[in-house]
Formats: sequence, C-alpha cells, structure tokens
Amino acid sequence: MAESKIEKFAQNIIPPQGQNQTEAWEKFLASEFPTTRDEYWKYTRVGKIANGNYKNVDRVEDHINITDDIVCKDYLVVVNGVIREDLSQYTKTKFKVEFESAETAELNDGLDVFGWLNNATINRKISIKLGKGERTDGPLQLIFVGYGKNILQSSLVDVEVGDNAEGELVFSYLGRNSEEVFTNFYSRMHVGKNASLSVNKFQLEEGSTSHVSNDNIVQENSSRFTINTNTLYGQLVRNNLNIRVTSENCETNLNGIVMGHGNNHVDNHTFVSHDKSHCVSNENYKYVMDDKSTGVFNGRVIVQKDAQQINAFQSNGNILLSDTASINAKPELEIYADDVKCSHGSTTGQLDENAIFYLQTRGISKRNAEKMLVAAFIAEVIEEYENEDVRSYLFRQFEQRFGWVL
Amino acid sequence: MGYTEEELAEELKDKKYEFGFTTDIETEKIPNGLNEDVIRLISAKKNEPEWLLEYRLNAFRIWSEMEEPEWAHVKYDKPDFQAISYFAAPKKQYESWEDVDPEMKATMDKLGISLDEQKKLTGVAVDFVMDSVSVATSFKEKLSELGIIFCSFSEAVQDHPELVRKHLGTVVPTQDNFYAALNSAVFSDGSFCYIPKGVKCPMELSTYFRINESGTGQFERTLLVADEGSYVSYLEGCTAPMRDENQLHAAVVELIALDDAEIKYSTVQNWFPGDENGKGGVFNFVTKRGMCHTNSKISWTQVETGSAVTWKYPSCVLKGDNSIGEFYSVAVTNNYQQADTGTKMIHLGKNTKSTVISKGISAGKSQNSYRGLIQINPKADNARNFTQCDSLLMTDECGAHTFPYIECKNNSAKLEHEATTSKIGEDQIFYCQQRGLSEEKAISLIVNGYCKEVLNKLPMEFAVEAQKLLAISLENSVG
Repeated sequence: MAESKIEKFAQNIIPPQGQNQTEAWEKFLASEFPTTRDEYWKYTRVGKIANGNYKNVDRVEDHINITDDIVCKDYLVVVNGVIREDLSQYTKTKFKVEFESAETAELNDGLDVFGWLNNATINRKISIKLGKGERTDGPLQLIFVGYGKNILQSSLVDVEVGDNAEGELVFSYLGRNSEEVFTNFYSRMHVGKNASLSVNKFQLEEGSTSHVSNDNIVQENSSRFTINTNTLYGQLVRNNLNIRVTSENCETNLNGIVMGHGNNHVDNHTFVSHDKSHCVSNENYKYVMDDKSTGVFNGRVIVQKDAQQINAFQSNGNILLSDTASINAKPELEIYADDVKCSHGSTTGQLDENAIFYLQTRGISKRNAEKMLVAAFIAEVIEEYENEDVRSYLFRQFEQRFGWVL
Repeated sequence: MGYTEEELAEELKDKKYEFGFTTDIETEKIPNGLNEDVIRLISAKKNEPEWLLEYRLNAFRIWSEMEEPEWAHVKYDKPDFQAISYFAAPKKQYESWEDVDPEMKATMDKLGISLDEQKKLTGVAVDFVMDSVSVATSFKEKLSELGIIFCSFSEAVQDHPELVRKHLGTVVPTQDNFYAALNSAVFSDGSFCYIPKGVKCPMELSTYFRINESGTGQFERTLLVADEGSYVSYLEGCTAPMRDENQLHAAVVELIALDDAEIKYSTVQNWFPGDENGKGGVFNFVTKRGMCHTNSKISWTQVETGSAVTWKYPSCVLKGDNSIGEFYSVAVTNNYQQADTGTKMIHLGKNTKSTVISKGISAGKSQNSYRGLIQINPKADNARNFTQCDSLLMTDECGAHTFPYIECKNNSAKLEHEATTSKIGEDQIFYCQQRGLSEEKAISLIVNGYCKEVLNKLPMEFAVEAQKLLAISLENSVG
C-alpha cells in the first residue's frame, strides 16, 4: 500500500519521547489533513503544508539579528521552536515566564491534525502568568523566528491573566534566511474576572512560509480581551481564533488587517461564542489584496440560548487591487437568544475612481493617490490599536516594506 | 383594498391551519419503493418516449451513488426512500372542465382558487395539480393564440418533445444534488411553459400544487422557457393537508430567460408545517434555478411560511452580459419549524447585477437560517451585488442564523452585504401603544413594515394571501 500523506509528512520529523507527547504523535499519525471538502477548510488548501518535507530541531545556536523588530522592553526569542534565552531579555516585566518540559507538560484534548502535530513536536511549553491585580508596564513581546530551510517549528503558549490584572502581549512571527518553513502555533489564554488582556500579532514571515495559528481564549466575568491580527507576509496563513465568553459583562474586540501580495493566501477564521448575557463584541477585519493573492475571512458569532442583551458587531472590508486577486468572505451569525443586537457587514470592491481623480486634480500622481486611499482604508483599523509603540511599529513596517505612509 | 385590519383580526381568530383537509378521490398508486422497475413503470404509465426513460434511469443511477447532504442547519429524521410511493394519480382523466369531479372542484373552492371564478374575474390561468397529474388547465385557448404553451409537464412531453428535450436538465443538471437527482429519476408531473419570441404574457400564470395522497412524495418538475424579448410572471402557491407522518417534497424548477427576456417567479409556500409539538409536517427540499442570457432578468420572490423542514435556494446563473438576478424572500418559522433558505447568484457575464433581500422571522422554538452565495467569476467585469438579510426574533427560544458566502475573483466587482438580527424593540411597541394600538396590533404593524420591501414585489393577488399567511403563522407567537 502506498504511504499515506501523514506518514510521508512525518518521515523527517523526530518522534517525541515523553508519554503525553507520544500519545499526541500517535493521534497525529492517525488523523488526516483537511481538504476543501471540509466546510471549515472550504477555501484553504493545505497541500503546500501536507506535501512539505519538514524537519524539527531541538538546538539552534546561530546568532540571529532581530533588533529591528523589537517593539517592547521585554522580549522572549524563540527560534525554530527552540527558546533562546541568550537572545531574550524579560527581567522587568511583571509577567511570570516559565518553561515546562514538553515531556511533563499538560497537553490538550480534542485537537485537530495541526493541534496534535503541535503538541507532539514542541520543545518546551511557554507559560506566561500575570498575578491577581497586577498591571504590566508595557507589553511582553514573544518573537518566533523561522530560520533555515524545511523547518517545522511548533510553539505552545499558555497565558493566564489573574483576576483584576491587566496585561499586554505582542506575538511577532519573523523569518530569517527562511525557506519552506512551517510555523505551527498553538496558544491558550485565560482572562480572569475583571481582568484585561490585549494581544497584538504581527505575521511578518518572509520567504515561502506556511503558518497555522490556533488561539483559544476563555473570558471570565467582566473581563476584556482585545486581539489585533496583522498579516503582512506569509505564503499560506491560516489563523483560527476561538473565543469563548463564558460569563457576563465582557467586552471582546477582534481586529485584523491583511496585506495580500504575490501568491499569498491568508485565511482568518474567527469564532466568538457568547454564553452569557450582557456582553459586547466588536470585530473589524480589513483586507487589501494585490497580485495573485487570495484572502479568506470567516467570522462566526454564536449567541447561545439565554445569553440576552448581547451586542455583537462584525465588519469586513475588502479591496482588490489587481484583477487576479480574489477574496472569499463568510460572515456568519448564529443566534439562539432574542434580546440581542447583532449585525455583520461585508463589502468588496476597489478604490473609488472619483477619489483617485480628485487627488489627481490636486497634483498627486495616480500611484500615490492609490497609496493614500489604501493607507486610509487600513489606518482606520490600526488607529484603534491602543498601544502607541505597536501603532508606530506597524506604520513603520508599511512604510519600509510597501512604501506606504499611513 | 377595502379590507381592514379589524376584519383580518376577526377572520384569524382561533384560526388554525385552514387548508388541512383531504379530498377523497380514488387514486391510482404504485407500491412503495424505488428501483429501476418503478421508474420504468412511471415512465410507461405516462407513455413517455425512450429518451426520457433513459434520462430517468441515468438520474436514478447517479442518485443511487449520492449521499444525502447534511450541511444545512436543520435536524430531521431522514426519509426512508423505500417507504414512499413514487406515483399517485387521480384515476379519472377529464376531457373538459365540465367533467371535473365536483369534489375536486370543492377542494379548489376551499383553496380560494375556483377556476370558474378565476376564469371570469381575475384573468389568471390556473394549472391545478392534484397530487401528481394535472387535472384541468384553463385559459389555454387564449394563451395559445399568442403562441404561449402552458400545460402540464406530461402533456408537454407528448406535444412538444423537442422543446422539453432541448431544455430539460440544462439549468439543474441531474448530478447537481441529491434531491435534484431523485427528482430527475422519479418526477411525476409539473408545469411546462414556453413564451415565444417577443411575446409579453398578458396574464399571470399560476399553478397550485397540493399534496393529497397520504405517504406520497411529490416530485414536481417545472420548466419555464422565455424566448428572446418575452416577459412572463408566474405564480406558484402551495397548500397541503394535515398529516401525521412526514411527507417529502423534492421539486425542481428550471427557468430559462433567453436574450432580453424577463421572468418573474413568485411563490407562496404554505405546506403543512407540523403541529404545535413539531409532529408531522412536510419536508421541502427544492432546487430552483434560473439561467439568464444576455440582457435578461430573473426575479424570484418567495413567502415561505409552511413546511416542517425547508431546504430551498432559488438561484440565478447570470451567464449573459448585462443580466440581472433578484431574490426577495420572507421566511417565517414558528413552533418547531426549521428553514434553511437563501439564494445563489453566480455572476459569469459582464455588467451583471444581483439584489438579494431576505427577511427572516423566527417564532416559537423554530430555527431560521439564511444561506446565500454570491460568486463573482474572473470574467464578470463590473459585477454588482447588494445583499441584505435581516432576522427578527419573536421569542427567546427560537434561533436566527446567517451563513453568507461571498466569493470574489474580479477586482472591478462591487459587493455589499449587510445583516442584522434583533427583536422588536420595546420602545417601538411602546410608541405604537401610545398611539392607541394594542400590543398585538403594534407587532403586526411592525412585522408588516419589516416585510414590506418583499411583499411589495408580489403580484396583488398574492400579496393579500401572503399577508394573511404571515398573520396566521405568527398567531400567538409573541413572547
């Protein structure tokens, strides 16, 4: 019998040692990669990942320059899934950062194929805790760097924000001399009562990188959670963002911007489940797709039975700059309660010719006029970001990489 | 209209499912079950040509290998396809209207569609389907003067085989989906309509479908061809008698609008929805699709109040340049009803436009979903779509869901989608009460206003019926 896709995929990966991980590894071997026949993966083909020839590593010692991408005073650097304390500096942060051996770390249940692979191939689990009532002074930045060729890098991050605490995190994903890297990221975040957590994600993986992120958030009573997902690079990016609002009086904000270029394929699947009453969620994702890129947006909001007085808003705007770019949007609402205000809107179009013409009559070249309009379109989302360092870092990225002054 | 709300309220008092009766007419039935022999039998009974039998058998083979779809947001006990009789026809055939069984005439009276009356007063030609065979067709002579063919599907197969053969299955191919394949294999009868070049059909054409024989699924097949430059408005309305067991209805409707033609297709669907405890009711799994050629227009309008489970997506394939597709829908679910309905707009040609307005109302313990696809293909330059789907929740036990799919592969397209879900605001009701309306009336006023955009698109006769239906469906449902 011919080798299965999973077996072929696994051939260069070192099987794990510990019992928990071995279990996860076996479950991975017993699963299958999703196809577009699966509704959850309807618009994203994972063939690029499934046919990859990846290996995982447990040591990387080369010096890697990441200075330009450090946004915060405190940062932790992870290269190819290996924690590099020599490159990191996080002594001042109030977050308690710990590493757990993968052999003993508690893993997850009921995962999908990528989740099992992640759990089976991590080096050490990263655990980040913020004690009750603590307040961080500036975010802690986690920098994940893909380095080299044909690399599978898996990271598992657990975040725990205690009651009444307030914290900020930045997750940066970078590529350095990278080629055919597969980033498999998994996180669990728990936001305690009356606590607040804000996460900024920067996906800047250059080179032919594939990226699958699974972020699972649980919110407690009166908590606040914000996540801003910024995808500027990555050949195949899939972000699964699952938020469970388990209690009352919570606020949830999800923002995202996607810059599509080349052959990139960027897919954001967001899921917000409102289990209890009196909560608010706001979602705003904007896509600018150029060249032959493809964007996918699937925003799903569920208001469970008995979750009354929920205000859930979802907005998705897409601009297609080239005639070979495409977009697939699927904003879903599932409502099982009646006293709710829920809406979603999705628009797809191109830059307004009249606006471009207007700018041209004011002496601005067509190209610059287009840039201005795209910048204004995206800036609408970024301006909502609370952290000023994050905003200016993002503006800088746009300027350096795309020549756009936001 | 001379018909006031008080009158409506009076009429609706204690009104239950009004059309729940059965007519005792001898019907010819073949044994339950489905296999090639049954299909041969159906075909032979209807004296069909060889090619149609082949078409059916091919569909049966395709169907046998398909699986029943499960993606829709509905839950139900799957029908046992071997426990259904696939053919039931009233035994007596009628030569003329005068010969029609008086009992059947009475049925039609009860439905409010007395042919006699309609012949004289309304100018509507009715093709009445009792179970599977068309009983009487009126106004045929008048239509045939204009060259319009409006007859039952079986007659069309006998009299106009070339037209049927040319167009059958061109819009909904046999392998399209599970129920379309089933229908292609066993369809019993339906309507056929052909509007010749440049003819504007002077009256609204209408068909009433009715499930009558217990345990008989209805597999209607409708084919409507509007030749170049023609116009037709077609009405379809459904009522069904009370039954305890679930009845399967898997129809296929194909519309073809050739260059510069326009088709307006309106439906009021009121199949038996099951009782207050969710027992019984019709399964309505329908495939409706229209093909638009250059400069043509197809407009679907539907008011869906019936059926235990609905699974229906009237769609438009905008193949020709400058073609237009429209979809206006009001879907009401009450008690334990489940509806998964919406549309597909496939933009293939340049400068194509589509409008989707969907209004869902959920009451009782029902689940109401909108599922729609807007697909812009790479060559569909300057395509334009506007979609609005709103949901209104009447109780805290019902659900309203939206699953829109938007696929855009052309950068000159402009697509808008917006959806809202909410209940009737207390302040709105309070405002109406301040102006002297009772709570019940205030709600009916608000619901009517909410559906107005869609109801306005219905032909006059239907709009009245639709409003009544809305009122019946939402009786006592306000929490």
